[in-house]
Amino acid sequence: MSMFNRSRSYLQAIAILLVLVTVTALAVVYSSFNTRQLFIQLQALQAKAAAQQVTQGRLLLESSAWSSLSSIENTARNQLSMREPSAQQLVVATIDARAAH
Amino acid sequence: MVYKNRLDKWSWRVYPLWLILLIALFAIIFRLAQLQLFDTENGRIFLQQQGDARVVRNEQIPVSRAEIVDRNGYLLAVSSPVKTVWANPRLIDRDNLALTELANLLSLPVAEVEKKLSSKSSFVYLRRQMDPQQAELVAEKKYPGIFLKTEYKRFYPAGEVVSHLVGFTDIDERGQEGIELSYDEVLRSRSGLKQVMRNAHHENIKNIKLLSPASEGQKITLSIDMRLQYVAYRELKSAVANHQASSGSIVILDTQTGEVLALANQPSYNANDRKQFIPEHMRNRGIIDLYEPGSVVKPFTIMAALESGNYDLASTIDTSPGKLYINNKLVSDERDYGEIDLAAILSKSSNVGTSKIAIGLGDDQLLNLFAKLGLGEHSASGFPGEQSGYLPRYKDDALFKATLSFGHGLTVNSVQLARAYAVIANHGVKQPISLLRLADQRDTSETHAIDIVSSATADKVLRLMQGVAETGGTGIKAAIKGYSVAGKTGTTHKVGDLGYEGSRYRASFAGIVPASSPRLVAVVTIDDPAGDEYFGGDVAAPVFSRVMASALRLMNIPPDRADQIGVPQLKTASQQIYEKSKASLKVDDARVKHGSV
Repeated sequence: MSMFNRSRSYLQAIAILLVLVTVTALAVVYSSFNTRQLFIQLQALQAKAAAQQVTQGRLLLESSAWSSLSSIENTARNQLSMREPSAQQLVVATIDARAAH
Repeated sequence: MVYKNRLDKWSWRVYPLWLILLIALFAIIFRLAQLQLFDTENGRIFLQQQGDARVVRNEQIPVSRAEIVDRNGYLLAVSSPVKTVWANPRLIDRDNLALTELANLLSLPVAEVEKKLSSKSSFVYLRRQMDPQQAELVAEKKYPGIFLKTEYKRFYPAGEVVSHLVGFTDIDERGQEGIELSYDEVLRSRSGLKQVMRNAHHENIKNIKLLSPASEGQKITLSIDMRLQYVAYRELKSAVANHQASSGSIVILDTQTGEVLALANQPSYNANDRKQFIPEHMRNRGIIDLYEPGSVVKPFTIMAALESGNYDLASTIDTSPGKLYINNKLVSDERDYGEIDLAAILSKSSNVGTSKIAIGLGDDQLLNLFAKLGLGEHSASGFPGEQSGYLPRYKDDALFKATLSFGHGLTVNSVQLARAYAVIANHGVKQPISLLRLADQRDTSETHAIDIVSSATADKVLRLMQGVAETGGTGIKAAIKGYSVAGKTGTTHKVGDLGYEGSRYRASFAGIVPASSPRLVAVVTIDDPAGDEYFGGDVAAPVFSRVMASALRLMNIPPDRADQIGVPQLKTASQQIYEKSKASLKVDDARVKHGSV
């Protein structure tokens, strides 16, 4: 009787373990599938970041080309007819400590 | 029956066959077990290695070299990602490759691509550092055996204006010249390495592990102010062209901090275009070229005189007849200036005057002062290739003292000269030179400032030097409207293979502005002017005036000689503005009343 009981509880344990193994196996499948999905996303984002870095580099160079001091000077002097203020046109504002109080 | 008998007769042969098959089966089972279960060189490890060799790859994590910027964050050197196209010729099926199409996409001649692909190696560069968008077209074609790699290319947005100082890197982003070389270790980034799993399409499917993390370089902030640098470069370039000079340089220092605000040279080169690299043009003359300073050291002779206590502002020296024979060598002035004071010795640049002073000074006082001021001493600016110059050993000889007093017999570079002038500007205190921006609040306990002379002496020299840029002085063309200028001109014969050359000169001007409370020091030298003008006062002084006028305005330094130009003072100015605004208000009121607004 007891032999029968013991072997029955063995069978039960094995059945439970079998179920657990199946469940965890499926979990592994699911998580590695998930990992792949996320990795694909990561790759896509990294590619996007790299592309944006390329764009940023291009824009940086473009902006520094536009902001080159010689081109600014050229535009200011020739197109906008700007010039440096002469010494007579300067107004010197000094801060008078007594006047401030 | 006969048939059956024959079978019986030979039936034993089946047993060895069985045996052989059984052995073969066990051998296969054993091998399978070995491959799967045992961690031996022939076992599982072998299988693992074979698998890894097919899918596991080491991949670089690219990082860019750090930037170089000026003191206000203006970009001077920046790395931008580009694509390099490479090929593994062993993987290329050359019969089915659209060679002409590939060559067109790479903008290379067909023959060149063909030659590269016929290489026996498994790695050849097809084209390095391509425009990323252009390279993308190559990638889209998915040619077998042809791959793209991200690299970084160095760009120098400011180009020739600051190229001597910033320098450049080679194609692998290693510093070759200038700051790029001296701070290479700081700027350099080390790309990381990661292990990835890759499929047959060369796509990553899994990151396995990080083998070494990427480390980024540190940004370098120079002490240079690009606005000043640009003005200095522009004026220097036009002066060198106008005087058909061979070269020139300008150094501008902040007198209080010792920071180099501008360091421009002519001729220059564009670091973005390697094809036009000419070694002669790549020299940072302001730091590397050594020359005899000539008359620009005369303020230091006067400084030694004042410091000795034997002379004061009222002292006079008889320079008649404008000629002086020392050991049968002639020291002469432009003309006979008669009996003149120290201010006039500077403003007229009298060689006889400084010679007499120097001969009268005790032993090595003058040489000692020159040494303390750092003439002929390495400036420790950290710039690669700086030449330290030469200061002679003391000789107890009148001619030796005399020649030293007007700047002959020693060699310096422009940065050293500027540093020595900064001592006059900085009330007798010598500051170390810096090419990097210093923190705004410099810790006073950590400065390496050294007292050279008393502040009283330095201030007196500064006052005496103002006569140079006033009417009657040799440097009148250095004058700046609204500001007081203290400076000194210099004109020296160039030294050729056979000693001094009679008709080749170096014109220089060193000055301090504003003289009443110094902020900036500049040294301008122009080499070998070919025109009629060759005096420092005619060639270098006007450059000083133009550059410093802009520099003072850009740095918001108020005019200290407002009386010269009648600058309206605050009170009247604010009144003017107030009155103007009141007037315009009235106009507005009127308009409102008439319904025109």
